[in-house]
Amino acid sequence: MSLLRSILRSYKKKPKTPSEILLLVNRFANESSIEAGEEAAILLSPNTDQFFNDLDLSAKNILREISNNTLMISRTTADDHGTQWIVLKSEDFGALVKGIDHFSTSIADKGLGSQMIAAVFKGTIENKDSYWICNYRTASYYPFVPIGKRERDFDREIILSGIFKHHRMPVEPTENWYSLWDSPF
Amino acid sequence: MNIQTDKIGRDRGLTARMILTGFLLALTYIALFGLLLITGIPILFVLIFGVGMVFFQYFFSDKLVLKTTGAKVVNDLEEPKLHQIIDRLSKKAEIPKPKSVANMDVEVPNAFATGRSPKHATIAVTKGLLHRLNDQELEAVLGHELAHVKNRDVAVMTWASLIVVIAGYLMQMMFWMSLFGGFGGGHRREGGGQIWAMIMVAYVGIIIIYFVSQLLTMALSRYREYAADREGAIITGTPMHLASALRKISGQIARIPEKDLRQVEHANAFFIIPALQGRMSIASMMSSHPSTEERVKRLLEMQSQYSISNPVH
Repeated sequence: MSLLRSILRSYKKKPKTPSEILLLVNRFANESSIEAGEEAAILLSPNTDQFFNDLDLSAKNILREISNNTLMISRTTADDHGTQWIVLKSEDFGALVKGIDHFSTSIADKGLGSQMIAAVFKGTIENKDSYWICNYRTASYYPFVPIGKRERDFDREIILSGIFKHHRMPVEPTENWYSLWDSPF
Repeated sequence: MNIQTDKIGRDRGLTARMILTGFLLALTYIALFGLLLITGIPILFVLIFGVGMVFFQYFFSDKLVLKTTGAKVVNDLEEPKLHQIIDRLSKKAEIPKPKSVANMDVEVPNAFATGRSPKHATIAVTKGLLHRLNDQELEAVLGHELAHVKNRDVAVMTWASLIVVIAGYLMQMMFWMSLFGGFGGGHRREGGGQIWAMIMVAYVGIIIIYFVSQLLTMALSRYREYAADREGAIITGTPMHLASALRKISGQIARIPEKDLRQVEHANAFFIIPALQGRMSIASMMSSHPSTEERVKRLLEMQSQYSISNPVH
């Protein structure tokens, strides 16, 4: 009964920490119409810090801290916008999310929190590729569903945002649903 | 029976929720009248007042709504397309064509149906709706409004809200009585304290009944919206056009930015503002309409059922 459910939901504890917010994506990925992918990424805006000089090595150093054999670094890359990506891979979505959380915390602990733009998860909705973007600044999620090279599937984005809300994930206002073209994964 | 209805079937979950909400509303009626009986508040007077209000709303709401919204009734020479679509859809819905069609000189895209029965119904649309929607989307919106007419939603919601009207009136009456000493304060020394306590119990009880019945009425209203979406989509046979119209009407698409995240997000602090917006449960529970996202989601699910029923060869 949805009325009772919504009453009970309003009494559930709300997530407070960045980690809790990031881990909420696990709930979302259990939706029947959604299929989580095996890759997720952290999008970074590099500065002069040594961390960004050899991003591959920096990422490997963080991975060593994690005792999870299923998680691996798929690739590290820079794009045309001058931003950098650390793409992680795991067949276990839960481990992938934990990995993204661990990398996020680790990078923030190095004093580079202000260089972090977003955590980007990939999955499918009704067999269409979709990105579930967690904006680090606002700690809220929004959907991005590209069709072809420069078009967006607004219908599915609105459906995804509805599912985000259904799972009590903080959702970015529509006016901040910025695109993320030419993602490396 | 409509062939398309056979393919899509009834939404049993929605029907069950409506029945349950109706049952809970009936319980609030029983609770209210029980409370009035126990506390000795004259039921007849309350009933006459409440039924009078509802009677007025039932028979005159269409005229009142047209007057307050500034909607102007238009004939088939003034708005031939509107009349033509409504005429065709009414036949498909197997209901008489609504008594009148109206338009409003407003740029905000919107539409409504009013009137207690199909014979007395009026369907009104804003000029903004006619400008922004294409013919298929306009047809989908009119199908939704005709579904409200077919389902007699004005009548259903008028009667469902009777308890809110009565409880609201009693709440106000008791509030003013408490201000002007009508709670028997002067008799407290002669054992009037007991009466005073009883009236306070009634006051609190009525407040609770008012809010619970308000929540239930709003829930029922949202369910009727879903039902009208579904019925309207069955009438037109194209749920996706209603989904598309809803997105345009809600203005959601217009707000989605064109810029890339990397163009706007540089050097941001890590979780400066934990924007815990979450789901505004209370606000959504008090809303008469469900969220556009949820409605679009359901309509697109319906569309995929149609696609399965009618595969493209």
